[in-house]
Amino acid sequence: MPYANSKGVQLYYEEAGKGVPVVFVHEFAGDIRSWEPQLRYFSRRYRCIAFNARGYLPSDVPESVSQYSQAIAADDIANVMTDLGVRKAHIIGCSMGGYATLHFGLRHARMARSLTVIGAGYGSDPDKRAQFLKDNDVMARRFEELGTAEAISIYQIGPARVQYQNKDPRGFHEFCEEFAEHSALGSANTLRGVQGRRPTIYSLERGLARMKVPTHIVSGDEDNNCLEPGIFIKRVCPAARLTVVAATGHAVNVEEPDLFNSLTDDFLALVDSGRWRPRDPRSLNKSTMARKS
Amino acid sequence: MPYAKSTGANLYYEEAGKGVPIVFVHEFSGDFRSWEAQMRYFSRRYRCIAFNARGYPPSDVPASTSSYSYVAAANDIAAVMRQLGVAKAHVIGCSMGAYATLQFGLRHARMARSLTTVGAGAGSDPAKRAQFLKNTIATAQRFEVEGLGPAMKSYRNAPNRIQLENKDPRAFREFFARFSEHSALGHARTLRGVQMHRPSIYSFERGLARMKVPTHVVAGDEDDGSLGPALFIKRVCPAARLTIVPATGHVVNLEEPALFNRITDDFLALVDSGRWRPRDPRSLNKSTMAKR
Repeated sequence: MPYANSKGVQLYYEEAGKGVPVVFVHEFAGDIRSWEPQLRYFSRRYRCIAFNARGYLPSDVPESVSQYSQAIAADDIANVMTDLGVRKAHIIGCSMGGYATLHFGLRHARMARSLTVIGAGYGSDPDKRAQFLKDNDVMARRFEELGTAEAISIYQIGPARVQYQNKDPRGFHEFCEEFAEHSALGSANTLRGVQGRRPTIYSLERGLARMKVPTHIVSGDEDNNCLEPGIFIKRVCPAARLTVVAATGHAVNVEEPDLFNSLTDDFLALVDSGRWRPRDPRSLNKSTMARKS
Repeated sequence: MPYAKSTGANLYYEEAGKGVPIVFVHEFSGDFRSWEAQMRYFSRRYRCIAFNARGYPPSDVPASTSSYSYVAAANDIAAVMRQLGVAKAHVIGCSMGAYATLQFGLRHARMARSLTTVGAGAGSDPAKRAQFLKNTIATAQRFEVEGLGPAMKSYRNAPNRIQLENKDPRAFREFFARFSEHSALGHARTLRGVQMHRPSIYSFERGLARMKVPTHVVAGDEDDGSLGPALFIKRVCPAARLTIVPATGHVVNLEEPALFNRITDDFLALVDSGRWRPRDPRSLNKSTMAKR
């Protein structure tokens, strides 16, 4: 099985297709397999690379929480690329992987052709920050004490997952089965090291305002914790465009694969054609109606 | 030319196609021609009806400002439908027309199969309300005193129009050429009668919370005045779904016709198939992560 070396930690990856590289970065509750509809679609014109984060078998599962962090997650993307001889790629990440993608853009801008960030924002709302950290800790303890299969029984029907269950019961069933195969230790360490300690989206304002990498923010309209962070990034980062997808929860790429693929195809083609431009400053005029003279 | 009779005004309309009816309701600086890309697409499977609001020739331009109001605008939709023998229709409106569409859903729910609102919400932000009203009066005065040409210029570089100019200069030129054919007095009266007096979207919370008509709220991510109201409608109205379209300004149907037609096609088909459902209450759980 193919592994990329990230400072001694072995990360399992798969590849499909040839062309401009696209790297896929999965969410907490998913893995490489979450990107199947994207790998099958984009491999027609791109070199698609998906890898499992540390803590997700068959990647290594380091035992110490100190081996897991937001910065390490972003650097793992860079290390997978370097190992595969890829200097610059489109990066597409969901949720936890969306955060990692954003941090990759801030830390490794010269390696990013573009960023696509799906469902990022959990834990950012200042009013709910304390509750998020508490919920995160409860989930970590469930993994440690109950094992994965039982730990996830409340997680997989969270308020931004029921949309998937309603729309596509077959897809949802598959998601639950794959989630249940995850390493309990890896999941607990990821919650404690990455999710519980990562900075909020709002704290990234200065970096986002200066970041020049073409960025596409994608959220479901029922993924409540991502709506304001999505609008925030759109407003502070001139390189960002925002899509909110109707009647949709957290993992837009698995819930609405056709629409996601089509929007992403448009965005990547715009960037690769050299026609992408940052937001026109005239659109930032504060007028409620017309141009201020 | 075909006209529908409404209270105090005859309204010009056009039709295309056969099937389940769709009524299109235009924005302030547009007219029925703004829907050309939708009429050509949806007429393949639907009976498409577009009309000009009062104040937009060849519809009548009533002389008294009191003939123009957001209530009259919603009732005009119902009047056009009655004239054409349409009992129930999908209603699709943009900006001023989106506001009328929402009011139509609140006032004539039994006549609505679904509502699609594009770019609704300008003037709703409480912090900017006074400035919005001041701008509206100033613009109305320009239409009255200086006429259409000079008054229109302020729309040219509007922060939520320049996206269309950057993306599709041909469509932008056409939009502007058509705008210049409008009635200056009709515009002034529409601003004074409709835009000045319509309540903020936020004031309709109770009605929206109870409204059962399937609703699709559409906004461009650079149409700043629409983002807050769009999120608000999604959150208070279980019948509402929200799409925000990337790198896009005010008139999404004109700026991104292919994407708009596609997501609208999906939504109408979902409603007409009987499979549309309101928001699952489980999704309103306040948890930040899992089921409580």
